[in-house]
Amino acid sequence: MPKEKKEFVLKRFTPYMGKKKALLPLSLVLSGISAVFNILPFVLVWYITRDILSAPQGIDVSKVGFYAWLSFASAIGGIVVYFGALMSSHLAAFHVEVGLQKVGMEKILSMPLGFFDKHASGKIRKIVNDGAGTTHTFLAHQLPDMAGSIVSPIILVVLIFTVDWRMGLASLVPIILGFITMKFMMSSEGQKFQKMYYDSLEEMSSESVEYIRGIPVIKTFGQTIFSFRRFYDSIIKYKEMVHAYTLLWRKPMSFFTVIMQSAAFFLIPMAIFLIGREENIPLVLADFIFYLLISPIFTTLLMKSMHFQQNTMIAEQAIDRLDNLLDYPGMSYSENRKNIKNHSLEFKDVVFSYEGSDQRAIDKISFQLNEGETIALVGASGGGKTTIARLAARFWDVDAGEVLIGGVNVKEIPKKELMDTISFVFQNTKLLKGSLRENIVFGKENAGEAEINKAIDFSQSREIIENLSEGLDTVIGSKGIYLSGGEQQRIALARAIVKNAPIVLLDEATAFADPENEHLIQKALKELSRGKTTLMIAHRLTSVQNVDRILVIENGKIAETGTHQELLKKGGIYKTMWDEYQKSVAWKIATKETVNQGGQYA
Amino acid sequence: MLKYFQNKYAMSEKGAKDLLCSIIWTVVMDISFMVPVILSFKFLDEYLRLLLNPSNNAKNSILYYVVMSAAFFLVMLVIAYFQYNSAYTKIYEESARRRISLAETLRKLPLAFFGKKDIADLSSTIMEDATQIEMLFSHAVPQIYAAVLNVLIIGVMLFFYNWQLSLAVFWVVPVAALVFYLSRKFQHNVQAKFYHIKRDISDKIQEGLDSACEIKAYNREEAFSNTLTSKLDNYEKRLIKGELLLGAFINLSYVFLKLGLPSVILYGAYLLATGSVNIFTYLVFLVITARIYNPIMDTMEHFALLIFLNVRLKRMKEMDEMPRQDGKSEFDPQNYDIEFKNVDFSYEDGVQTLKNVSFTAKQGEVTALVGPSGGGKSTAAKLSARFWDIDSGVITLGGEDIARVDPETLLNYYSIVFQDVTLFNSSVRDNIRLGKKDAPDEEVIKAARLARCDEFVKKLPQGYDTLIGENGARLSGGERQRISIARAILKDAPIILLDEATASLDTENESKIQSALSELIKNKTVLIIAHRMRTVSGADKIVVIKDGAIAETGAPSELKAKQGIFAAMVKTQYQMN
Repeated sequence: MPKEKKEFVLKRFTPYMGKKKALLPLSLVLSGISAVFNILPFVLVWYITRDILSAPQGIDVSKVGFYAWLSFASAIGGIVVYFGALMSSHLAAFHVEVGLQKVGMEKILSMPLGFFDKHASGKIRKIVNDGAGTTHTFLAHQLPDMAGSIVSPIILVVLIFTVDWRMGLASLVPIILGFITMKFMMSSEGQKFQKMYYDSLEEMSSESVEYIRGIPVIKTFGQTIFSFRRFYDSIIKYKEMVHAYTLLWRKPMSFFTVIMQSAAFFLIPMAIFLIGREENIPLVLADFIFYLLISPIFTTLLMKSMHFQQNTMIAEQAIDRLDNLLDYPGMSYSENRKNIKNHSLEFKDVVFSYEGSDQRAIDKISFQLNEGETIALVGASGGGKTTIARLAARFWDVDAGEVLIGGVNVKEIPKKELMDTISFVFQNTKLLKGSLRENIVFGKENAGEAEINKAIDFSQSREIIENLSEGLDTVIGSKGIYLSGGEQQRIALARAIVKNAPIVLLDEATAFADPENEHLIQKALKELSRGKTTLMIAHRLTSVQNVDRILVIENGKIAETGTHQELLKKGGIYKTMWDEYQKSVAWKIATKETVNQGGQYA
Repeated sequence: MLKYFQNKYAMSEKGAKDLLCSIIWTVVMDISFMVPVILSFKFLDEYLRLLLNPSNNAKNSILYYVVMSAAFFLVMLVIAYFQYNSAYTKIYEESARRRISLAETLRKLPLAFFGKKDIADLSSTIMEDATQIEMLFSHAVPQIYAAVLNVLIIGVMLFFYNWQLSLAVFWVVPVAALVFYLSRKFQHNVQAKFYHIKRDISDKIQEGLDSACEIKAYNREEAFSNTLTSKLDNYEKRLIKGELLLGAFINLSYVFLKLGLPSVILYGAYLLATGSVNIFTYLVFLVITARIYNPIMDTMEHFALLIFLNVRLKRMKEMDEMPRQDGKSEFDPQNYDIEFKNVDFSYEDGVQTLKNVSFTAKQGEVTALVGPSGGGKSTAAKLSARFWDIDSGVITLGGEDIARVDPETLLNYYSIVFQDVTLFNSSVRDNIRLGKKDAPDEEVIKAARLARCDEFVKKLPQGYDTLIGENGARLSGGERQRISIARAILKDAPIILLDEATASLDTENESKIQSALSELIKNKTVLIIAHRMRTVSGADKIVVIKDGAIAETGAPSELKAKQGIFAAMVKTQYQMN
């Protein structure tokens, strides 16, 4: 049963091994050979004692010398071969570690855009890093031990029964007793305790996270003692839990530790018994010494194989997590360029629900956005505005209906062409490490100086760059140079302006990143979408008055459509939103009731 | 010895005693484990005499050895039992003490400390370190000390028994240890070098993940993969080189150790042939030599664990050296005027500074801090509640220096409504009640109503008793904000620190949050970090902070007339709408 598992776990590494597949079996074989080499010196000591005891008066120094050098040679051989085993396992481990990161990142980057919506980057990194780290340790250090712990018992069993089976049995008694104790410790109650132990450890660690995160609030409200109490209790609970756990193991563990050291207690009576039966005394004594030397090796092996099983499990879990992460429905892209001429965007009876949800996020939406027009999406959050914009960029595939660009279904457009056609500026747009110039020409490396300058001016970034001593060549994040949220947004907009895609998807919330600079970002957004087919998610109604059409989105449906004026006249949802907006704009902060107009307005 | 442990391992006196105790028991246990070997020698001795001199009949019977074995077994068992007690049971008590004192230290740190995300992470890492340290103290530290002592004891005993053969056994140990030590040093250097390459790769991967959408949107997948691949390949090449050298080095030290056995065999055989030692002595040394190098090898490897332990302990000690904030817990200010007098302040990393800032926020008035982002206005607001201690100058509340008041006492007079709201995984009711621990239900609900929480709480499955998930995961930004305002209303502190941006987090409910805020600040001393100029046109006083210094101060109407920075900011923001 464990053997099947082992093969299974090793096989799972092969996709990341590339051309170095032979390294793992090589390491196993070498490590097995080194195990033989390591036992050989004990056999030689046995020979020496036998010779000396058989002829106590005339010691043959040259023969003993031969054995001595042979034992040294075999020890060195053991080390050299083991070194080879470790090297091949390390090479394999490095290769798997590196391969896992390469293949993992490649797969992750080929995921549909929606994937990154669902998975936080910190979490993905932890899975990739943990996977790489754990498999490294497992392959580099634990795998060679595995071969050793399979080969050595075999050799030992052979030796036990070939040298003298009666004394071999005597030396096995404590090992068997130790094994039984171990089984007892791993029994149901032991496991129950183990689970409780891990549970209370986890509880304590999550209490500690909550405690630390909460300290500022707790302090502000003068309730440290109360929150401290909870954490304190979890610490004490854990301590008591561990205490009970150690008490449970105290007797069997003490017995186990002692019995593993007790081979002599069984060997001596057996030896005397054999001598009493008139057996050859020198041989019995030599055998006795041999077993005395060899029995501790068994103890070590027993311990190692126990750890090995645990580590296999850990490695399996790490690989499982990675596989689960990458097990995300992929997207198929067409290879044939469509050479889209008309840059309109159309939704035709689009239905979409998020994975694992039975509610429709988008429920039969149809609209047409002609080339050069601007549409604003407004409505309560969670209504579906963001989903619509993301479906247009094919973050996910729709469940029913069609998203068309220039009359072509987005599923038919090659990925590269689709991305060349669309620019999107959503919330949390990121700059990359590198100079400002590299960031700005990110989408078009051969952009000329004039183009870059235009983008800088249009995105209102001129002032940012002029304030930096190295100008465009300033590397972001280096030497403590950081840009504020609003400044980063403007550079990101310069990047989108250079890319110059005919269709633009905007989330106006980007403008709120930096309220002091909001007006600059608003201006930049306007420049970016000038003359482009634009779909804009509007949160505050500041900028929707002049768009061609407003779609009010509610519960995944289009509730109202029209221009600003038409919708105001209609007196529906949009009108209510507009009134609310007017009210919030009028708010002023003051401690006296009389000045507080915001509260009474409406 | 106790003092040494206390200092080195940052332990309490009791903990150090327990550690010493467990080391002693481990030594005793290890010595007791020599008993079976000694008994074996006794047996060998007796029967060798029988072999060499068959007329000698002074040997013990099977029964004797069985009884002796059983008796020694029991003694060993008792010793192992006590060793187990001392090593595993007591250590966890010290560990609990360590955690509690860490928790104490943490809550004494300045408030601003927790605003930095990586530092909050660091503190939870340290809590995890406590678990690692606990493992090492129960499973490794006593064992390492005991192993060293034990090898020494055996060594001394052997030297007294036969110094020539002992030399043959032990000459390899210092050589191997030296090589091992050198290889560790080498490993340290290599690892320091690898650390940077590794960090570089991990940063690159993080960047790829963070900017995955941009990379895809700009069709840069291939370019990214190529850079990463070349970085990884380079890393692999260097790893292989480093590991080969290191492996060769460490194995060299093992080769030296392995030289011990043939030395003893050869030299012993020579001594035996010349009659300097008898067969028994020779056999004793053979048996001991064959067994002694493995524990020595283990001990050398275990030393790496001690290094690992030191790194963790160092991190923990750093925590102790953080600036703590204390002060008197009796404080009753005469009024609630906040005054900054010539305040200088810089963060440790020197990124942002306040230079010679002086202003007064009067009781019962709204004082608005405005200015470009990054100019220092939120730093100033936070300093007024002693989030951090200032470098020079003085900040007073009701005329008293706040640096002399215990932060927790001081904060009784403040309600703080900033953008980052921390909620706990308990009911809505409990989260609001945090504002005033003993508030009756009616008062909690009244505050919730005033903060406009009522409408969304009603929609929750169990109303006010709904559990809101870790850090309020189940609530929207605006809802979280309103809960934090309800807390502040319930607390009813005389001073309010407010970040105006809280109002615009949730555009749909902006006016609701605004009226909740209006409710909160009635007749209070208000210090507001303002972003939108129209909002503060009703404030009593405007303080413009730019590049860490005060640029303008005055009533809004005065500043507008002055045509300075404030007037310019008002103008650009109005243009927009």
